[in-house]
This record gives sequence, C-alpha cells and structure tokens, in this order.
Amino acid sequence: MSFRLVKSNTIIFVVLLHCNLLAFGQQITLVKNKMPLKDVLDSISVQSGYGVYYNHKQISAGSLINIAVRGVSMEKALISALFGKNLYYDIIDGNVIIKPKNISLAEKVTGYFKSFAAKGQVSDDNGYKLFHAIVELKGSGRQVLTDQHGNFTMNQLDKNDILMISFIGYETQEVLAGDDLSNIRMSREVVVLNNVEIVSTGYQDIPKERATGAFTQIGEKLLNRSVGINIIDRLEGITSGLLLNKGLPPQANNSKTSIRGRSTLNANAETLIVLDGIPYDGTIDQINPNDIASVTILKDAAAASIWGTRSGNGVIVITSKKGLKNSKLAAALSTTTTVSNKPDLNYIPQISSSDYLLLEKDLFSKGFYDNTLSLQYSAVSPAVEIMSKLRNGEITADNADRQLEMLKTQDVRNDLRRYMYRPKVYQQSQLNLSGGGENNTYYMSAGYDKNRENMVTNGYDRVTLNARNSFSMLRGRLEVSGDITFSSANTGNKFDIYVPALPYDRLADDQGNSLAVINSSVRLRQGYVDTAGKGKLLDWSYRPKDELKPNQNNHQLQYKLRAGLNYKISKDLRLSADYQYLKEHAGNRGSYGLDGFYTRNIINTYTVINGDEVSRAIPLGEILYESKQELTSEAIRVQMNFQKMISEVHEINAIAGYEARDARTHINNQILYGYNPANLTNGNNGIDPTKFYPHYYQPFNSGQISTASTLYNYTDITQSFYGNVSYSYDRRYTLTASLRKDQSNLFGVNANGRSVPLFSLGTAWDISKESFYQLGWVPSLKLRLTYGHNGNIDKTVSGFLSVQSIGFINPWASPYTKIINPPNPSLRWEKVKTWNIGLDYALLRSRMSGSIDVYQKNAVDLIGNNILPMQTGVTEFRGNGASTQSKGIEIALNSKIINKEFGWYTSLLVNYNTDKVTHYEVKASTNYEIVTDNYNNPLIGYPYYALFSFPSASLDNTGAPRGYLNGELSKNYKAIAEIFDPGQLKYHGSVSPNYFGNLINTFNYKNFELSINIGYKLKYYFRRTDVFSGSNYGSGRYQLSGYTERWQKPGDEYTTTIPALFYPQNPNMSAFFLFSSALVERGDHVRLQDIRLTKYVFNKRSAASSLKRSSVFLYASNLGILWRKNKLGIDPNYGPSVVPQPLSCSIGLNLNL
Amino acid sequence: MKKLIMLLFVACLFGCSKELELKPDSTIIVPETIQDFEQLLDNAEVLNTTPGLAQLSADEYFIPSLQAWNSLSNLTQRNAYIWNKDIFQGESKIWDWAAPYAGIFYCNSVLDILELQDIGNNPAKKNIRGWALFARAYSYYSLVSIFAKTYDPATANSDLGLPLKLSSDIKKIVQRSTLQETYDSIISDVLTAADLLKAEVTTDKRNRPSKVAAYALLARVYLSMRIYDQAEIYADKALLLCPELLDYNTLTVLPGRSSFTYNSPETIYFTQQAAKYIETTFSSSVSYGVDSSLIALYGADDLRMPIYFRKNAIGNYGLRPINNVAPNPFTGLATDELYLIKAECLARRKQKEEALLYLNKLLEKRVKTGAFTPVMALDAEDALQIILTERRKSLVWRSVRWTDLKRLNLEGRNIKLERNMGGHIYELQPNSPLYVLPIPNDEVTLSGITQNDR
Repeated sequence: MSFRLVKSNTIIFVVLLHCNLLAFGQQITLVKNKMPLKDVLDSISVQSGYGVYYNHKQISAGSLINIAVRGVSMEKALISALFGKNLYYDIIDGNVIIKPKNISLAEKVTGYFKSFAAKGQVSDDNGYKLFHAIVELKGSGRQVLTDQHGNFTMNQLDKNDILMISFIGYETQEVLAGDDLSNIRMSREVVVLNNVEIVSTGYQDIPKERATGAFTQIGEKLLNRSVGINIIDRLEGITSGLLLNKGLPPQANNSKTSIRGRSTLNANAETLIVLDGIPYDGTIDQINPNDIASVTILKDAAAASIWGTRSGNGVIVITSKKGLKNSKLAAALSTTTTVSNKPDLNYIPQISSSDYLLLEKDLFSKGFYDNTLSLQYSAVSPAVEIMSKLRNGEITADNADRQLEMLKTQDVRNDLRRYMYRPKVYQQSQLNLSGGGENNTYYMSAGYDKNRENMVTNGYDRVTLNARNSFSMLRGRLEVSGDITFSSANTGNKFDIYVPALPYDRLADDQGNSLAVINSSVRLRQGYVDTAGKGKLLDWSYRPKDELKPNQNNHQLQYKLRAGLNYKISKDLRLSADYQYLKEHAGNRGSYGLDGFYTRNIINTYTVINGDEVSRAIPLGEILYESKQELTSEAIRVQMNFQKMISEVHEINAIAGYEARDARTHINNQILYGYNPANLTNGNNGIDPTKFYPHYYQPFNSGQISTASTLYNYTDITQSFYGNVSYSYDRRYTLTASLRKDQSNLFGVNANGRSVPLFSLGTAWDISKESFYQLGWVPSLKLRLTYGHNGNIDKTVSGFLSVQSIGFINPWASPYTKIINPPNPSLRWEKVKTWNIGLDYALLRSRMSGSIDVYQKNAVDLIGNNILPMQTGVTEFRGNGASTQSKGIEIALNSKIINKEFGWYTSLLVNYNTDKVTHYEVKASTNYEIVTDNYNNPLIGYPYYALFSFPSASLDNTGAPRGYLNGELSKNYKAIAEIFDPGQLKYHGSVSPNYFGNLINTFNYKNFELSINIGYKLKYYFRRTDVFSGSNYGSGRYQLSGYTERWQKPGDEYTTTIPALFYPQNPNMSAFFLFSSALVERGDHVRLQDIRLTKYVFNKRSAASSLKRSSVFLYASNLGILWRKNKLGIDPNYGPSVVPQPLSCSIGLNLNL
Repeated sequence: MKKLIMLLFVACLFGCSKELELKPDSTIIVPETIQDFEQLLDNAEVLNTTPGLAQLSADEYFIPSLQAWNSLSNLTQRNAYIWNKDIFQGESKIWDWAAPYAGIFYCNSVLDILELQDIGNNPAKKNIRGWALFARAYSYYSLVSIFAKTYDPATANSDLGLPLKLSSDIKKIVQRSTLQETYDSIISDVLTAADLLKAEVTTDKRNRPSKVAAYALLARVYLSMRIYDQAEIYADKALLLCPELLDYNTLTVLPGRSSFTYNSPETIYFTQQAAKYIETTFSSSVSYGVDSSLIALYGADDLRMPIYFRKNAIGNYGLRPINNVAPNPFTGLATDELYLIKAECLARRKQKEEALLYLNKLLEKRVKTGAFTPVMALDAEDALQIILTERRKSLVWRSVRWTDLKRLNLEGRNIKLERNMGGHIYELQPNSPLYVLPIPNDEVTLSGITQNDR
C-alpha cells in the first residue's frame, strides 16, 4: 500500500447504505469514491441478485469511478455506474450483459451542443441552505459551487446527465439533471464505529478489504467523543477488545490497558504505543488528543507481530492529523471546560468517632497503649491522652468525660471537605491550521490545557505545539516530510499530603484557627512536641491547614523532530526512510520550606541541645530535592515498498525494512539542605555523610544524612529486520505473511538469546465476491484467519548473577551492593502464539455491519516468580517456566435503526475473555499463599487473576469466625491457612471481567445529536478490603467497614458475619476472616459511562473553504452505576477503598473556519 | 540506489551490534573485580546481622506483665518467650532462618565466581575468598546454635545438622546433613579462611573479618562444642594478635546516646542482632526488662551497669548499645569474650591462678578506677563458677547465653528456666527438646527437609 494512496483514501467514504426498512425488492445502494468499475458492477450484482457479465478487456483497470446511489433500481444503478464510459447494458434472461456502446454520429454531435441548463437548490434535511456544496457533472469533473442560498446553475447539460452533489459531513447523492432540482435534500452522514476503511500498522496503511488481521480503528469523531488530556483514556468504552484496567489488585503486575486479556505474568505488561509509525518512549500525557486523527488497535498476530518482541500485549497505533493536498487553509478551534464536584468522602466506610472512642477506651483498659505511653515522644490519640491523664489523676473524671464528649462530635471528613478539596475545573483549548497546495501539505497546532484538581494543592497545565509539512518534488517522485512537536507540562502537588490519623482529627477550631494534629508518618506526641527543647527547637507541631500549598513541581518538556522521505524508484517500488529524534526532560523539584512540617521535623530530629548551645546537623533553610531525568530516543527506519498489479487479478504488496531504536535515560537526583533560594547557596558541605547523627527524641537512634547525588543510566537498544508480504487474487483471496527478527541489549543473555524471529501468516476470503454467493441480505461477508508469534521481554531479569549498587554506604562508610538476580543461564524471550478467526459482515443492505473475532493466545516461556526454599538464599526467583492460555470472542455490531430526519444508530461491543495458567513450574506451598498471593505463584488451571477464598461458615457463639478443615467446621485458622490442598478453597472466578463492552446509542434530530454510552462488565469478582476482622485495629486504622455490625453478644451470630473484637489480637483469625468467602463479592455492573449532546452550527459568512461544520457540545461522564450485583454500594471500578471520580460535566465548542 | 540502500543497511547493522552489549541499567553490575566482591560482602545488612531467636528464648529478659505480652505485635515473639512447641504459628519467611541463608548465598556467589578466576598469589583476592568463607561459616554457626541440638560427640553423627548449601546454584536443594558434618564444614571453612585472611583487624572497618576473627570464631565454636583444648588454642592465637581491652573508665555515659562507636577497640568482628524483635530485646518502651537476677549480679562500682543498662519508665532495666552505635544488640566477636574463654578453659583444666589472672585483666577495665579488687577463688571449680557468672555479666545480650545454657546443661549444670506469665509458670527443663527451635514450615514444605522433633 503506497503512502500516496493513503492520502487519497482518507476521503474514501464508507459503504453507507441508505435504504428504507420497509422497501423490499432489488434496490441498490452504493456509495464509493474511486472504485474500480469491476468492483462496482460486482456489488450491483451481489445486491440485485442478477448475474452481471462483462469482458475484462473492456473494463480497464484504470477506470475508477465515483458512485453515490441509494435505494435505486438496478437499472438506475447501472446507468450511474456506466455513465460516460461508452458502455451499455442489456438484460437477458435475468442476466446483465455489459457491452460497448455504439455511438452514433448524432450522439456525437449533440454532445457538442448540449444546451440544457440545470438550476437547483441544495439544503440539509432541516431546510438549511448549504453554502459551497459541490455540484459535479458525473464523468466530466466539471464542478460548480452553491451560493449562500444554496443555489447553483450548471450549463451545457443533457437532461440525462447525472449530477453528483457533495458536502462534507453529508452523504453524497446523485440526481438526474432533468429532474426537479429545486429541493435537493442532503442527509447527514452518520459516523459509527469501524467507519474508516484504512487501517494503519505503523509500518504501512492497509485497505481493510485486504487486511487479514484483527484491527480496530477509532476515528477522530469517536476520539473526541470524550474529553480529557490523555489519549489512551479516551479509548475507554469505544474500543473493541481493549480494557482499561481498574480495580485490579495492587500486588499484581498490572498494566494501564490490556488488549485481549493478559499474556504475561511478570514481564512488561504494558501495551506498545506507536505514534506516527515509531514506538513512543515519551510520556503519554505529552500527546494532545486534539492533534490525533485516528488510533488503530492491533490485536492479533497478523496485525501486531510486525512489531516483534514488544507486541505481545498488543499495539496501539496513534496517527496524527496532517494537512491535505489541494485544500485551502482551514482553521479549527476547539475549547472545552470540564467541571466536577468534590469527591464523595463518605464512600469509604469508617468507624464513627463515637465508636472509635469506645474502642480506644476498651483497648486502653486492657493496656494496649501502655508501651506507647511509656515512650514520652510517641504519639497517642487525644482520647488516650485524656484517659491516661485521668488514670494518673491529673484531671477529674468530669473533665475527662466532657473532653471525650467533644471528640465524639468531630468528624475529620467535614474538615477535609472544607479545607482540602474543591471542585475540579479542567480547561482545554486547541487551535489548528491545515491545508495544502499542489506539492505540499501543512498542519500546525497549538494547544493549552489547565487543570485545577480536586485537591487544593494540585494542578496541571500543558502547552503543545505541532508543525508538520510535506513537499513533493521531482514531479511527485520524491516526497519529503518533516514534523516538529513540542510540549511542556507542569504538575504541581503536595509531596506530604495530610493523611488523617484519627476519625476525629480537627484541622481548625470554630474560629478557623489552625489546629495541630498527629502526623501519620512521624507520630510525635503533642505533649512532647510542646515542651521538647524548651523553645530552642523549631516549632514541631503539624498543622495541615497551614500547609495547603504545593511544594512539589513536576515539569516535563518534550521535543520531537521527525524527518521522512519517500522516493518512488520505479512504478512498483518505493523507498522510504524515517528518522525521529525525541528528547524529554522531566524535572521533579520539591522545595520544602521551613514553613512546612517536613523540613522542621528533619531539622529538629537532627538537632542536639547542650545547655544553651543548639547544634543542628542540618542547617536551617529550605530542603530542595531535584530529580532530573533526560530521555533521548532516536529511531531510524529504512523500508522498501513494493506494489504491483498483474493482469488485473494478482495484486502483490510487500514491505521489507530495517529499524533501529536507541533510547537512553539519564537520571540525576540531588538533595540540598539549608538551601537559600535567594542566592542559591546550600549547606550540604557542613554535613558529614559518613557520620551517624543522633535522633533528638528516639534514644540510641541515629542516622546518616546522605548528600551525594545519585546518577543512573538506562539504555534500551533494539534493532530489527522485518518484512511483510500480501498477495490478493481478484480481490477475493488474500494471503499475508510477516517476519521479524529483533535484537536488543537484554542483559546477560548470550547473543543467540538476544534475538528472536517472530512471524505471522494470514488469509482472508471475501465470500461475497464469489459468483456463487447469493445471500442478498448479507451484501458483504469476509472471512479472516491468522496465526503468528508475538514476543515480550523482561529487562529486569538477567542471565548472570547481577548486583545493584544502591548508592548507600554501610556504617563503615563503604559503599555496598545487593544481589538482584541469581544467575539464570537459560533465560529467553517470552512468546505469545495467537490464532484469530474473524468475520466482517454487513447485513440487511448494510443497515447493520460489524465483525466477529474469535481468538486464542498461548503464551509460553513466560517469566514466572518461583518460590524457592529459603535455604537457597533467595525466596523468589524469576525465570521462564510458565504458560498461559487466553481465549476470547469480540463482537462489534453497528446498526442504523432509524435513518431519517430523526436518526437512531447503535454500536454494540461485546467482549468475552478468559485466561488460565496452563503451566507453572513451582507450586504454592500453602492454601494461604494461594488465597493471598496467587499472582506470585498462580495455580495451574485457573486464571492469572483468580480469586480464591477460605470457605466460611457462620460465626460461633463467641463471635469467632469459622471455616472448614478437611470438611469439618474448624477454628484452627493456622491449620486452615497452612494446609496445602486447593480443593479445600473456594474458587470464585477472575478479578478481571469475563464479559465487558459498551452500547452506544446515538440519536439525531435536526442539528442535534445525542449520544449515550453504557458500559458493562460482567462475571468477575472482587474482595472487600478494610473490613473489621476482630483484630485489625490499632493506630490509624479507622477506615474499616462493618465495625458497628460486629458480633457483640451471643445470638448476634445469626445476624452478622463480622467477628467480635478480640484482644489480644489474633493475626491468624484476622487473616482467615479477611480472606474468607464472606468478603468476596461479584463485580458485575452496568454503568452509564457518558452522555454527549452536540449541536452542529453552520457559519454562513465564512470563507469559501469552510466545508466543515462547527459544533457546541455538552458532555457528562462518571454518571454512575445503573445496575450492580453487590448490595454494598461499592463501585467495582474503584474498589471499596478508593473514592470514585465524581460526576463531571463539560461544555465545549469546536469551530471550523 | 540499491547500493546506497545496502550501504545503509550494513552501516546500521555494524553501528548497532556493538551497542547491543550495553547494559540496560547502569546500576546493575556483574561482579568480577575485587571491588565488586568487596561491595557485595560489605553489605552489612545481609552479612553482619544475626538472628534473634536465641536471644528471645534465653533468660536475659522478662516481659513485665500479661498485658505487655498480649500487646506484642508478632506471634513468634510471644511464643518464643514461653517456649511454645510451635513458635511461628503460621508466620512465614521467618527471618532467623532466611537471613543467614541469604548471607550464605552471597558468600557462595562470590566463591563460585572466584573459583573461575585464577586467584594465584593475589593477596587481595585471597583475602576476599577468606572473607566469604569466614562469613559463610559465621552464618552457619548462627543457624546451628538455634536449629540443632548441642554438639555431643557421642551422637553428632546421627543428630540432624543443617542443609549445607555450598554452591550458589539456586536450583540445587539439599537435605539436612548430620550435626558432625555441619560442624566439620564450619570449622574447615574457618580454618581455610584463617590461612587466607590478613592478620590484623582493620581498625576502621570492623565489619570485615581478619585472621584474628577466624581464630576468635573457632574459639567460640569449639567452646560451644565443649572441645575446650581447641577453644583455648584459638583463643590464645587470637589474643596474641589482638589483646586490646577497652577501659570503660574512658567512656562517657549520656542519656539516649551510645557510649561506643562502630569501631570499638575490643570489636574483632562486628555483627548485630537484626531489628526484628525489638519489642522484647531493645526497644525503649516498657515491653521488656533485663532479668533482675542478672542485674543484681553487678557490683556498685561496676561500670557495665550504667554503660550497658538504663532504667525505663516503670523501673525495669532496658538495654543500651554495647560495642555499637545503633540500639541493636551486638553479637559479634570481641576481645572480652576471648579473655573469658581463655579463663574458662584454664579453670576447666584446673589452672585456677592463671584463669583468675585472665579474668582480672578483663574486670580491671570494667570497674571504676581505684575501686577494683582482684577476684579470688577457693578452687578451680569455684573459679569456673565465677568465670561463668562473669561471662553472663560481660557477654550479656550477645546471643551466646542460649548456647551456653545448652552446653552447660549437657554437662549437668541443671539450669532450669522459668517464666511467670500472669501467674502461669512456664518452665524449660535442662536438655529439653524445646532447646532446638523448629525449622520454619515453608522451608520444610518446599525443600522437604526433616523438621526438628520438639
């Protein structure tokens, strides 16, 4: 497939068939640009059921025609198709014979004297007159444009001439010049899924009819359906086979996205992202989605294996917008504002302040806090402090009661809402200019985003700039292109955010004065803080309300240069070369001033007071932390493209190329103590990094203060040879094959292991093009079958014994290292073998269309975490030795239910995916390991994300949970945990949904379009965390659910499953309960993902090229759950301990000038 | 044109194949050089820390109340205190077993790479080899004193020792050797190390072993095996090279600060107990107290009292750092232990006067200047009793008490341990099988080695 064809193909229209559901009969609908006449005739044959016979020689390959007929008779379609071709047709015995037309002299003469003038008016279905609609005399290229009132006049016509009327965004139609043209109504083109007929693998663009692999392409309109700064996030809910992972267990090696389930265990699980043909190493947020024209998801081996060892998790190919040749300057401005409310802090259950006080009272009486109290400096809650004072006789019982009553009324969430959170406001705007002349194209854009986050300290802004140009020279034989992109982003946030230590923490008193609270990570007692150092120390109190400003800034700067050339060596052969240079500077700068607790605490900790003498190991001043990360990535690709058509039926396309990538990251971290921002001095020289400085409060504790900078280099080099051949016969049969060999600097593997060949084979059969094919109601049917190998690597493992220098020194000032990898001489690449069978179809005169894909992925040689006995010195070892299998079905179905003035269109995505581990060398040793840690040593025969639990029975009459051991009721939690017998566990299912997908309903009426996306995830499970287990209380643990429902008196066991409070704490009982079946819930739910309402607007006074419509829209997301299986109000996308995103609403404007 | 393409291809090929040798991560090293080995063996977190179970089970501390016992955060701590039959109760990856084996793996890795290199007469490499052998033996000795019976020549060939991992191959799983084999391996490693290591203690890097350390370790090991003549020989050899004692009168006592540095002159080889069971061994809180009968043994002028201990909030004694800056108990080799070994061995062969001479040399440095009066004894057995008591007082919290209890009971000294837990009395009978701690269950399950019968 040639580069130039791509460009022209971007304006190819889809087979959008417009027909009346009630009208039966042989009505033909065919809208195609530049389609070979042969194919047009074939389509008419298929749709009409007539055999159409013609002589190949008469229908030359070069005769590409435009056609736009909808619901017309076969004869009318034939007339349109043969118009201006000197061909004629006869219908004999139900067969159509195409033959050359004998042109009479009279006809020839009249051709010169056409005198008919057609006048007409063009409007849309609402009666708006269309300005600058194109009226073209079919077969001649002669064009006129409509005026401001939609009127046109075309002279020198014959009454039988056909006029084609087109307007971007509307369906092109044909009319007879002699007909009444005073009211030509154009109907709106509706964009549905899978509407783009060209798919891009990043190496080449393939017309969909010749593709054998499983691709999903998302066009610009769908990409812009949602708002947000991240292009990958925008794919959610509109992409078949792609799942944005949410709510998965944090222990597992999770990726942000997964395509067709999981095919690795511990190696890189991320999907490869390709931007404009080159793997993208930069930060995804640096891509402005407004600059993106389309995204293609490569799912099976034929689609993805061309990307070699990084394709095992699927590939996302992102294509940027470009200018079009021969188009005038077009400007587009888009701007969006999104607002959303404060998060719902009540979503996370917590023990109420009064319950928590009772719990503390109980624990206090049992001596739970005595150890802590005996350390003068160690924090206890205000309540424990009061109880301790009461016990020591320092306050009266009345006084104590009154103070405790006060605490009961406080709820920290009120203060959090008041001081820490605010509504979120995101603003996005982008302006782009594009166009092109005879020999060049250009596209330029500038974007600006500004996000005000929910947390008062957090914000984000981004500037993106793009310029792309291409020039043709040497009469079109050479095309040179160049892109420059620049982006700069700033994230401001607070490094040490306030985490409440108690449910009744208070940030401010009634007058709004800041109050001191316990710092959850430092935990100093207020009484100690108030007196320590007798005023010679810095203020050691922690007042979160005084620290509500960002102290950390992450700055990212990226520039990317790309240069490409495309040289046509001969008619069939082209050479293309691309080079890309990307540089990304990421700087993380934390400046922690003396006004913040963080700095005061560190300085105080290393202060020594001797009489009146105060000596500080860390000098007074700001602490500055700077991390500078520099990524330099270069990529080069040289590729030969071959394309040949032999005697009209044999079509060969091939590419072969070499590609090399070199990405290097350099990181430099530095901390400066006593930093003075005024004159940039620092006090690091006064610190002896080998010395052990005593801690002020913890006796005998001391610490070294490291001042050295740390440097790292990461190098990722790959080189690859690849090729891809496709052969099509008669556009009916297609065979494809690809081969790729990758080499990379994988560490410690011998040269053979460093490279791996990966391949794919595919075939496609367009059944509907067969002469025997008679199914008129299925006008298009194509079968695809592919097989191939993708790869994956894990650069963290090594074939040799390798050690890492951690940059620390031991107490004797010697630097030391630690072993990170035991030797593994048999290390090799992971491989994913993929089968895919797909069917592309169109039904009921293309009123419905879509695809069905069935796949199976067998991943072998996966790197697994093997549990080793401790005597080896290593408890876990990562090496090849695991296999998984995943299977799935993907169905995409687009239908036009009503396609009139009022339109109703639906897109349905159904995904089914299951996976299981088929081989794993090392087994878990206890049931407890299976239940808690199945990700590390998964059980054969179950999914990687398998969820197991201990089957639980009801509580006993002391409120203790009960399980089963060898079939008997048991409270021997230790034995239940330690036994190794998976048969005694309950297997629920996968934590990743088996079924998921979306239903998008789009309605339009007049200029309004309403689109509603409903997403669903079915058949999966999650485990409730943070439930009161009877023993999991203690400092800071108040965010527990079920505390009030706990067993409290005999008889409660009939109504509750939450255990009684146990003291002393029983960790085994707690572990049993937390992993018991009582806490496993179904994740199944259906959610209203988003709603978008668009109004299209026409700018009647705009310039001549203003063919695009402008629009304003309202968009709402996070609308909530329509149905969920769990009855606990938990949103399974977030889990029980993450606050879901609040409802967000956007308003936006897209202006096309 | 085609030539140009070919040229391009070749250029790329050539240009990149060398680059493929580059390390993906600059911090990752394949150890090869002396410096690489040193950095690996200088990892004091792995190689200079010792298990805590011996300390947890011995009689140097008590938990003041049932309440305090109940509030302990981990089960192993609670169970080890009362000598439960199963002390781990489901807790896994028990550090006391895993950490010494991690150290052994480090040493084996170094030894295996050195095996492939020609050490020849390279003194630096010889020293590294000695270091790795020494550290491996040290770790095995830590393990054997907790997880195996006391050495008894009569039964050592049938008693269970440790799984002896002598190579870094993680695929090779070994079963338990006999106790004799375990001790043989330890001793032979240390003897080889003694030949390879440089003689003197490196005064500013006491985490690294020397010939002195090897001899001192041999003295400690032979003493625990009750092979007193060998213990004495190696104590002599070590003392010959390093007889230095620290006069405690020169130390300052500041509240909350250690009186020592990481390079205390008495330290021959530094190790410390890992910060695993802090609540019952060295926390500043009131969760434990130093055994009061032990405290009672120190005289009024004994400087060890203020330097080793401090009073806590409820009047019990807690631990201060000894030969250490961090509060973790010092468990390494030091000259005071050598004096005590030498004295004990002399007393055992009835050399009363000479034994007391060694003892007094040490005690002189432990008592306030001017207040010292040499210790006298009635006879050799009396001297031995005095020396054993001084051993408790001097080597407090060094994890040697547990092995002492085991060997002394084996020779019939009949020391019975008792814990009073809210009125409930737990007892540990002399020579009880409970003196041998259980091997963590996950090890037994995964490698199939024999569990201790207790």
